[in-house]
Amino acid sequence: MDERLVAFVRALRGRDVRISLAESIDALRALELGGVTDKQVVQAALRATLVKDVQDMAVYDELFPQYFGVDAPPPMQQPGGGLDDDAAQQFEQMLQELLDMLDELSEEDIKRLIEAMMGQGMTRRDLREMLERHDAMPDMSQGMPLSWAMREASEGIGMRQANELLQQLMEKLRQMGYDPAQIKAMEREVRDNRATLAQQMAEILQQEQGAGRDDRERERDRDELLDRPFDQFSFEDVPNFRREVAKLAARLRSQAALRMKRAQHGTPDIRRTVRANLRYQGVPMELRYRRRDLRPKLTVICDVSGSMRAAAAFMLLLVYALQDQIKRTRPFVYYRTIADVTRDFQELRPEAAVRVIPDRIQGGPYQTSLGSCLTTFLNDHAGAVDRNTTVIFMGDGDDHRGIPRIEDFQALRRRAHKVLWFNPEPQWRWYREDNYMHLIAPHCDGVHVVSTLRELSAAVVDLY
Amino acid sequence: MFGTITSVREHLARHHYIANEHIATTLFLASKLQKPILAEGPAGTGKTELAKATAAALDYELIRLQCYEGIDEARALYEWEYAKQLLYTQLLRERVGGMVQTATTLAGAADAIAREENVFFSERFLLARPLLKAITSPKPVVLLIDEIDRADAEFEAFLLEILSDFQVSIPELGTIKAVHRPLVFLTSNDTRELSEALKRRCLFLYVGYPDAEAELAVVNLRVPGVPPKLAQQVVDLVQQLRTVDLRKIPSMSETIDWARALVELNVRHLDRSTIDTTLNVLLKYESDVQKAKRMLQSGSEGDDEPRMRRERDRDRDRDRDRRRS
Repeated sequence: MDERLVAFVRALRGRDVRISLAESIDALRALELGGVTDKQVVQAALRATLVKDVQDMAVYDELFPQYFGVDAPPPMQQPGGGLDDDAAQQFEQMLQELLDMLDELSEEDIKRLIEAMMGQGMTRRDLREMLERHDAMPDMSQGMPLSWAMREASEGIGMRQANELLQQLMEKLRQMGYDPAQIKAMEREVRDNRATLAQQMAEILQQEQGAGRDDRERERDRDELLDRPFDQFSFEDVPNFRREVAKLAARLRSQAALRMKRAQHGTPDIRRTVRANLRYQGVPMELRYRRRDLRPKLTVICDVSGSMRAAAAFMLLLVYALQDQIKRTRPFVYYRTIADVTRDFQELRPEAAVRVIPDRIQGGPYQTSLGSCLTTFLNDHAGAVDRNTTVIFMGDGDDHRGIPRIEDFQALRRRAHKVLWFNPEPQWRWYREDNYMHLIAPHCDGVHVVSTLRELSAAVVDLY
Repeated sequence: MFGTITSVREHLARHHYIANEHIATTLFLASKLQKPILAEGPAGTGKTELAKATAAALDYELIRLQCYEGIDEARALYEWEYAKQLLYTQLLRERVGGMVQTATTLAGAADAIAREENVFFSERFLLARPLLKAITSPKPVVLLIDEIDRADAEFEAFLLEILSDFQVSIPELGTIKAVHRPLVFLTSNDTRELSEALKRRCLFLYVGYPDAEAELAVVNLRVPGVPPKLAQQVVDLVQQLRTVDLRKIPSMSETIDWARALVELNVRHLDRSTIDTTLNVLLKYESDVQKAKRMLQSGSEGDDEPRMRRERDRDRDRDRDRRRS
């Protein structure tokens, strides 16, 4: 049991679930206490001790049966059920002859594969042993794609030969003049069984793949994630992204805490000093200093037109992951019109909120109109900007409806503490048609090119 | 303490809490391993209730620490009661005067007062807050640290020390060690990420929305006198509403409130007009109420969903085409 638990923990770690040594020890003790006879108890006990994040539950539930499930053969089709009695008998006889022949040739594994395709399912352990016997387990640690590995493995155990032999039998049956429709049905059932076998094999290989990943690879994955352009991200990457961001947040937190601590030693705060020393009958024994809150106050305005949606989503996710390091965030999204999405972020988890925010934009023609959005922003939402606010635009600076009014930018910059522009596109693209980045840039306090997570993190860290 | 996992379930059921396999196992392990439970999940799914039921089942006192933004040691652990100390020194002025009378030098007088210092820094003037109360309690207790995600990260770090050793150092009194390790529950609504270190020290329990069967059992248990048909209808409707995209999904506690309201109104079974008039007990936003009514009318999920998706796809295509041209 201990070995299996260790393998299970390794597999979980391979899938990026963080498990410390202390937690593995807890899991072992939990098994001792709860007993290992009841599978549900084992599952609950290991889940309580090993998984500390709701996001990781899915991985846990997926891997658990592979390590602790009953390793029973999956239900298989029983080919040949639809044949006439005569044909069935004939086929049965031919199949038996073939199997006997394989026996004589001591090709037991091919025989076993044929039997499996004929409906006698194999357990995962059997299949794994077969792979190991033929030395056909591909080296999954080198990042081999699953489809290649599958091909290599099935070739290794002789799946192709087994399949061909079975096909020949059925061909013979056809030549003998039996009903082709019935034979076709049988072929289909055999094919289904082969797919089930392939599925089992894929599970084994995936397990191997997860367990084989070491820290260096994870580091490589991380680098890849940091340097991947935003438009190649999908929502499946969000959990990995969150993990990265958690690290960034931890770094910023200690940085900010230090600065806050230093900032507190400065001007004494008379009001708080008097109040604190009331207990000493007004003798100022404890000095209180003025607290300075150095956390920025952000208003984030993101372009959510098709091309910019991914970048905007990640920008907002990052900002919300750093929520406790930011005094207040007001998120807006623009495309055809501009919309205040503060409420979505108050009520939903950020991951859920970024999915719905593009729907908040209603009305207007289907074209990005930065200029009119900005005018609307100044008219309707100017309260979101004051002299302590840093305004961050996340967009490419496109406007398909006209030239944005530079006066609006100037007005915004006068109101705000700072206006920054985060652009996922490099500078050489600024001068193309309908792009006004070159006009806007001089009126911003800073323009950052942020096409990857690494650049985005660096730009956000710069705010502090 | 609980002997087996089954006994956990029985004990909790006796106190009107229906625990599933996960809850029962986690609670059993927590009591045996003496580790805190971190219960996470949406609001109103019975996390706090679990701590209360456990306290009742074990016949322990429940000590609750409600977290909020800005909570600090003084609110959570202990504080010296300065006002009381001051009052005592005022009242005892003559005694203190008499004590120093015999001293001939200033140093002698100071020494005389210092000898009596213990009187003023004793437990008499110590205002114990929930954490200290839980540690010093002569009987075992259940300590509930509610909504830990609302407290600041610094407070979390402070809690970490207490939760691992169950001892506190008070400079004037020395170290106070727990007589009995309390059974600790931390709850979180997952509004922010908790630190890895805290999670590592706890057993993790996710309490989500219950399935129909469990919810029905809870309604029957918690709402005495509810007609079986009504209970079934209430649970079916709530389960259906949870699949709709609402601003606030109704939780277990809202289901109970609604069922109670219906029983109070003497409703025997649900019909359209009853639903229309009482839906605001279940749903907390007007937009949600309207959406639910629309759903009930059409008998299908929020009908604007496919339209929005179509629009979104169209936007994307147009944008891409324009880019290409």
